[in-house]
Amino acid sequence: MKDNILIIEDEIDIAKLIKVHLSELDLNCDICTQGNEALQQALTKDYQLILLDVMLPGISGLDICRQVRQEKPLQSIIMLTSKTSEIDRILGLELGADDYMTKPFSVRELQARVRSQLRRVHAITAKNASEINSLVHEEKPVQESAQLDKTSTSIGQLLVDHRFHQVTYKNKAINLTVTEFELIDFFCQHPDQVFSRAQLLDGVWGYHHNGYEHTVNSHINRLRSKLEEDCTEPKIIQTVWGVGYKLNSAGVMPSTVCKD
Amino acid sequence: MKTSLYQRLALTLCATFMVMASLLVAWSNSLVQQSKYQAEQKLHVNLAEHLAHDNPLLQDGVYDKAALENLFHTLMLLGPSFEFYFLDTQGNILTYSADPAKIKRKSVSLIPLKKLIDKPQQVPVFGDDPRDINNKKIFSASPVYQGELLQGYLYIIIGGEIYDSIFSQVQSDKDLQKYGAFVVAGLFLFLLVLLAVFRYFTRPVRELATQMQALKAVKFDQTKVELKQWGSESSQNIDSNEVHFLGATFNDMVVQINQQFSLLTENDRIRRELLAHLSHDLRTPLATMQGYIEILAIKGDNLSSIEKQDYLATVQRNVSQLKRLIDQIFELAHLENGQVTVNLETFPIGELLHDILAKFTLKAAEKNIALTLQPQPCQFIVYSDIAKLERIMTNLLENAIRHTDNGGDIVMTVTQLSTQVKVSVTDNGSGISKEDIAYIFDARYRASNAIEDSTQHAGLGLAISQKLSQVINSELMVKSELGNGSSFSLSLPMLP
Repeated sequence: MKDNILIIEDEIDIAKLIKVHLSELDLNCDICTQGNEALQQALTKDYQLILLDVMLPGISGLDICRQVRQEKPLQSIIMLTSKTSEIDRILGLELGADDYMTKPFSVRELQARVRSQLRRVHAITAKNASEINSLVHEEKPVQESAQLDKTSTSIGQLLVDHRFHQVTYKNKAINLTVTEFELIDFFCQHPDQVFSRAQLLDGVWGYHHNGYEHTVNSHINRLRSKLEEDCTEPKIIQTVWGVGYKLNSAGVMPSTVCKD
Repeated sequence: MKTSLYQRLALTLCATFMVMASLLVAWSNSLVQQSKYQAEQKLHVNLAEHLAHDNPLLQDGVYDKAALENLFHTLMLLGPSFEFYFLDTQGNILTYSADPAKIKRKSVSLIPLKKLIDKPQQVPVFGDDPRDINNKKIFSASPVYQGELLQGYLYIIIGGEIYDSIFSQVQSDKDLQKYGAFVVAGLFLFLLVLLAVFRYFTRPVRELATQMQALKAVKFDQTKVELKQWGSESSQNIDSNEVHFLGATFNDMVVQINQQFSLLTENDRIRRELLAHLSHDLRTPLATMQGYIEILAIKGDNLSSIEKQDYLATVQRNVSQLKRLIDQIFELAHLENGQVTVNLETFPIGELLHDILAKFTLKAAEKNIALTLQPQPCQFIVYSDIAKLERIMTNLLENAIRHTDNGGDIVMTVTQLSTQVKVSVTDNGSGISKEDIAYIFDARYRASNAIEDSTQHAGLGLAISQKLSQVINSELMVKSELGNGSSFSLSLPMLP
């Protein structure tokens, strides 16, 4: 069974080009050039992946993204943008796009991103088929993780619950955004292992956001402000000079005395 | 109403003066008259008594009216300004010395008569004028007794009709005329002085208005009109005189407007220049692409695969250059829009610099350049915008690597200056000449020493970096010597 892709793009030339690129991957592509129409189609039909342009006549791509996310939390979405100023919003507001690409993009890049998204979708579908889930009707346990059979990871007093996307530390729920959650989750999968910024980009975001590497720094900074007692001397997410960042398992142990 | 401020002031002043002068004249006249009456009445206060005493006609108690009239008449001839009346005890006029047609009253009130008789020193006292229903005049009066019995009163109106009008009185009085003339002249002089003073005081307003008019006529173009200096150089003087203050403020405003206008035109010129340069820069790769694509389309199969590969690689190289340039143009435009959001947060600057450095390790290694961060570890905490800082430092490092020869050194240094942290990127590369250094932050200024690796260089990098620094309330500083490398630095606050 072929995967279905919805291409929402008002520039018909670009839309056709994307279709040509994706046909090589043996995928079914629907093209939609109108915002409102596209939203209807995205909500009513079943697509494995939506490619969504930010600048659309009528309704903005960011709005479509938000509405589709509300209806279908698991819908995989890649946003296309030609305005670099929009990327901040896609990343910063965490509208729920799984990935984004800036126009113009190369064939290789597009195909790689689409493939990686589809892999994710299939992994989740497979997992759902094998799992009896206790969640509300069609809701599915969110996000893939390296250990799909575990519903939670815990290190010391830090508990990461994958099913509810919830992190508790010292028995207190920590309110995190999607990306912050994924970042702490990634660290928890590999405690005490040091990652460079580039590796974190690959591991958490899945590819190189060229020119937006600083989002890693921003997210680490925000995570620290939510977890650490003293951000100037982090005990949990630490820097290893000359190498990168790590989750210090000693820092989350119950016996930890916060004075060195 | 087309009157100037001074004209309005002068008119008001004149009107006030006229009212005041007439009031004054009226008041002084009545005063003079009062004193005149007083003097007259004092002089003649005993006249009636004497007459009553001396005149057998009156003493007899027998009234021969004709004889009495005759007597009165004779008396009037002697003193034409007197009118004689004989009243009974009720104040009814019995006999008089005037033309019957002129007599308007049948009786006069006795109250003033008694008052004068009782207290002759309290003059003037005015009694009813028999010749006029409403008028009152000074008089002399005396009771007439026959034996003990009050017969009536002798009532003498003093001054008669001669003093009836103030004007005739003034005319008849030299002193009063002099006095009046003196007062009027004095007032007039005073008025003139005041008008002159007003004129003096309103002069700056007139001048200001004239200057404004002149400037308005030339559409506020400062170059066409000499601006008047308001007040002295000291600002105190300006502040104490409102008009000078207005004038000075107006001048400042005009200067400001002109400055802004010239700045606008200058910006416009720079923008047009930039646009011309940029369209040239955009056209170059586009022309290359078009050429090669046309060759591919026309010759197609007749090309060897090596040629095809080569042409396609050229097209792709130009595409990426075009993309890079357009990205920079957009970024600069976005920054200049002034609608950039700044996300300030407190973060360890050392970590960010280290991560940025890591991005360039490969690039530096290719040119055999030593790329280091000082000090290590670097524990400074700053309050700034991570994204903007990353862009600036990335730009600076790219520039440093581009302008540093193989085997050179690039150092990123972090130093603390009181409440700020200074971040610098120092290289020992080609450096910047004195002539160029003033322009390096201008959009699309390419220094004469620029290395022509045009595929990677659009000339907007430093302009963007400077704009970004301004967005985070800092300023990019440069120190450089030709041949001795350059150092770019930026100061960041440590606390919010």
